[in-house]
Amino acid sequence: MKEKRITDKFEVTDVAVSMKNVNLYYGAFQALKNINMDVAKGEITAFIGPSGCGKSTLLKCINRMNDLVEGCRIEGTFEIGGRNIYGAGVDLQTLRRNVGMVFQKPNPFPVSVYDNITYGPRLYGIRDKATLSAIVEDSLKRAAMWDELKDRLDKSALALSGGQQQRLCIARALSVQPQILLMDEPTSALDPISTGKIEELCAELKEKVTIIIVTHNMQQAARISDKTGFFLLGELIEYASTEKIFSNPEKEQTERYITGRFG
Amino acid sequence: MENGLENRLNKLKSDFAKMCRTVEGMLASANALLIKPDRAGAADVVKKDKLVDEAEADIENGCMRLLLRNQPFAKDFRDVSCILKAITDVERIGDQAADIAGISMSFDSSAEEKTLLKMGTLALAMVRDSVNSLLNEDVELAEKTQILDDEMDELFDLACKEIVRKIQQNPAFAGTAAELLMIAKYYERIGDHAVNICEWAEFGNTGIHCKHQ
Amino acid sequence: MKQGFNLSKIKEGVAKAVFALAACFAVLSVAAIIGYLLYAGIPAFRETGVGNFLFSTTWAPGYDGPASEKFGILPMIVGSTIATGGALLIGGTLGVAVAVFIVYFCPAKFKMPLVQTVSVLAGIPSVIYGYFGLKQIVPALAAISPNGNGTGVLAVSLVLGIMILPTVASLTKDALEAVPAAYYEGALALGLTKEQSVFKVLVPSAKSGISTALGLGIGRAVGETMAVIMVAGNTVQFPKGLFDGFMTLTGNIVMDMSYASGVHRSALVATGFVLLLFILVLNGILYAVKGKGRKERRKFRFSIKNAGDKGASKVGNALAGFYNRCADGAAEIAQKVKMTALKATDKISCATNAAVTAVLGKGTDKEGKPIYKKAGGGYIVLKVLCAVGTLIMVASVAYLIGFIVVKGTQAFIETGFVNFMFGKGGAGKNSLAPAFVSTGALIGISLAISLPIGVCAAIYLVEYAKSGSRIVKVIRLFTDTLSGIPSIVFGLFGVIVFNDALGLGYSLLSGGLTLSVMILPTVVRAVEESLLNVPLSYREASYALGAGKIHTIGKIVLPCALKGILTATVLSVGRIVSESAALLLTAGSVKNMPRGITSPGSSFAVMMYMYASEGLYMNEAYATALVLIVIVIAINAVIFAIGPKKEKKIERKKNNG
Repeated sequence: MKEKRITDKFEVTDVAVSMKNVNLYYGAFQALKNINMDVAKGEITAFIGPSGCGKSTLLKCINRMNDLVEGCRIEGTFEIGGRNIYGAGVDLQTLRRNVGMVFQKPNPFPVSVYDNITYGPRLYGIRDKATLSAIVEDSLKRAAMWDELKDRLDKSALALSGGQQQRLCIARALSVQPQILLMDEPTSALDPISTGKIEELCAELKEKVTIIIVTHNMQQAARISDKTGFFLLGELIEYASTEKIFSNPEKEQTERYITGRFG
Repeated sequence: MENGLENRLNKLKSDFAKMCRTVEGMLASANALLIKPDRAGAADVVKKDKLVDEAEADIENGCMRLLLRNQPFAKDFRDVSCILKAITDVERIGDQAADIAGISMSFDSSAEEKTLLKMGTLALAMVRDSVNSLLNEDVELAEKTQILDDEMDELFDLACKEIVRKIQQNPAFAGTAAELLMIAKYYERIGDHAVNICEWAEFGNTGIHCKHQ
Repeated sequence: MKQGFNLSKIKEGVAKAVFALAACFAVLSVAAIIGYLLYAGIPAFRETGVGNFLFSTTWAPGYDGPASEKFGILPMIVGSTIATGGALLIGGTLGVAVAVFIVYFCPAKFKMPLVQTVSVLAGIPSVIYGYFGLKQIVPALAAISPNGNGTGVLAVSLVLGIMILPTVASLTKDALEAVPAAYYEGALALGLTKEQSVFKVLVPSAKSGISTALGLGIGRAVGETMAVIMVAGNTVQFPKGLFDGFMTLTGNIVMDMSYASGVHRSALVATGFVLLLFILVLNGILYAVKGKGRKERRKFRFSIKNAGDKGASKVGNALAGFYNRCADGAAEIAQKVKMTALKATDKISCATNAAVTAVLGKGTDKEGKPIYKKAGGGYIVLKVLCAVGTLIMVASVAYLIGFIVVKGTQAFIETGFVNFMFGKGGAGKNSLAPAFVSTGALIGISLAISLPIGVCAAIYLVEYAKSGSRIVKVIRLFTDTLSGIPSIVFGLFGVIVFNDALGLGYSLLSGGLTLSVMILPTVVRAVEESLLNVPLSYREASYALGAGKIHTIGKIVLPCALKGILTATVLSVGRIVSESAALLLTAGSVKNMPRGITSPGSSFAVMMYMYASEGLYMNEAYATALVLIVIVIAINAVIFAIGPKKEKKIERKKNNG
């Protein structure tokens, strides 16, 4: 019953996230300026732009991780399934269960693989061993690492390689069945092979989970995303299909950035 | 991964192979039409050329998209480059086959130019071998095929002389002769295109293009 | 639905309030200590007058009635200053030398043993230092003393010097290890030798950390009580020579407190208040001076989750600003000593000018290689001096521990091990059984109080308080202050509040309560440190899965910090076991088995002091000392077992990742 309520609350429609007139301030500093964008369901959307352009900040607004930042003030609306996630009566737990997140550096908890993945489900009240085991198997399968890890579930997650740790973090995020997955430079700490595996994983996941990925690596955005948004100094300069952005961008700033002539 | 390099490259390769086989078929038909003119058959070849043009556009687009999105390196890079370059030659061959077929429509009976027919046979062989060398990554075959171009050039000279001699003997033949000369020129060009394809086949395998040296 | 939501909000709110309350406890403690000492000291100030109290030279409790009473503490102020100066000269110099040797010159296989030696030295209770001084140093000095008197300035300087050595050495070591490796590489790349790089580049870069270390050493010297009274001679006078007896502020308090009453008692409390004021003023200056540096450091700590500055160095930071000048003075002296040594070398090597200019850092350029070589020779002398300093330390430890072990073993043989350890104490018979029980009770009471409060306070500081907010600054100032207060002051506070005001009298409960206030900052700091070491990314991951703060703290942060909490516990146990001054004042000094927590009782350290000071029970004193030493070494072993393993694991992690 409880579970049903939680998923019902933010049922994404064709537009997974709709951001309108978003302004964000850190104290007096305006980090995001009038952002308007709709993220389509079942696609991979990439945010690109130079450091400090606001792309990560915007990403963190979508599961309200910015609530943890002191002096952060957000204007405008973020709608998921027609509900403003900053509106009254929104339960953070419910929101974050539906909008998962993977971070720049792999951050598995220093416990076993199994406990890492069951952390989320336990939080939502699942205690039954069989159910938990099923969730572990399912999550690891979706993260394409069940075969790698099925015999090492009780081993410490910290004993895994960096790439495995990051995929475990993806599996952990998937364990609560989010509808949207935010990825904040998920491969910047990884080698090319692990990066390739994670990109492949993203492509497989996007059928069921809408993915928004922040990346410094333009080639990565070009490889895996369907739509790309280019940010500069807190503004969304251009937002279009990835092919359009990378072959024939509308704005000169976009062109200069993606051709490496920025600044 | 539907957008993955592997998938995209494989699809490009198979589309390209299909297009090559279509063009081969068109050339074979054109050769046959010279021996046995057939309006319907000629129209069919011309229609196929339209399909080939479309396929060229698709494959070109696919190549560029792959370059843009997947940033191929090494063999992948050479394969895409090969396809992107060779496809122009293949398309031209298709055009010329269609042109030959078009000219054949004005013929009432079999053209009795032995040299011209030989050129047709040689052109088809060169196209087939060059495409095979590219698709099968066969450098040896590519080298052999390029040598055939000399034979083609000799045949072209011979064909020209023969036709000129025929005009001198029979000025009424001039109208037909002009068309035959064009066909000869088409075959000669097809030979050149085949050589180009062979050169790209070599590049695809070795990374060296003879004209880049 | 809504209810569940509100419920969790309420839970979070309540938890936050509990943590905040715990954090405020530190503030309350300091306020209470200041308030009560001032309140209880007022009669003395009123009777004597503040100026007279501080600057008159006669300390004469009224044996002949109130009229003849005179309370002037100037001799004690001077005594404390001299004792501190002497200790700093010996312990400060040696401590820095030991640290430099350990960090830069020590062969790898001796490194860990040396570090362990330093930490064992730090853990040895002051009563043992005092007894060792009394039995070994004082007789040796008496032999060479012109007045035949072994006690006095030199004896105190030596004992206190060895006592502050580990403090200075371990903090200096931390400071040196925090110097970026790139400096060393850069120096080598410029063509400097290893010795030149160390003394010209690396040690100077750690200057502020070393000052901090020396400052903390001063703090320990000023506040030391038990060791000092055993070797100072305890005459209220201005010492005129190295072998003249004198009295320190702390010594005066502990010597008189047990029998003083009325204005006399109040004057002792007022002495404690002066001591406390001294520490507070220093802390205040520190905050004013070091405010900027702290801010930066905090930022650094938060950005780099493990900045590695250990709890102790934080205390040091707090005191550093205040003590900087003293430290600079000491450093200057040390520098002069080094310079003298260098000059001597120069004469030997007939290259005086070159070496001096190189040492002074003038015109080392464009002079060619010969100068570098000769200068390097000078630095090698410094290196040798560091090694000699280390040898002195090792020899002292070996001597001290060897002395206690040999004497203690003999004593056990003579008194009968089982009898003495576990026998029933009685009129004629001495036994340690009461000490076991009392120490256990003291540990239990103080941990039961300070551990939950300390953990909660640390959680509030790390997890809830906004970094850099005024509340945090205030709380940190007060915990830092609390940790800088000498234990004798806690003792006074305990006497006034728990013994007198609450009417607990001399009792284990009173002692335990006093100790729990005393160890609170240790616990807060150690737990805080281990919480800060839990990567922020763990918390983020938990929040991103939808977990609330309390859930994250309970399921992720605390389990990860468990080892740190364990270390805090063991450290606290160590402090409790070796504490004597505060307990002497609050829990009393009886040899009997305590009947309950409301009856008086003596811990091992107090028991040992009693045997030692009575002079009748030498064997018992040695045997108790041996027990104490064993406990100290065991505690060190436990901390060693918890600590380094963790670090190794983290390193391995990094390698894998």
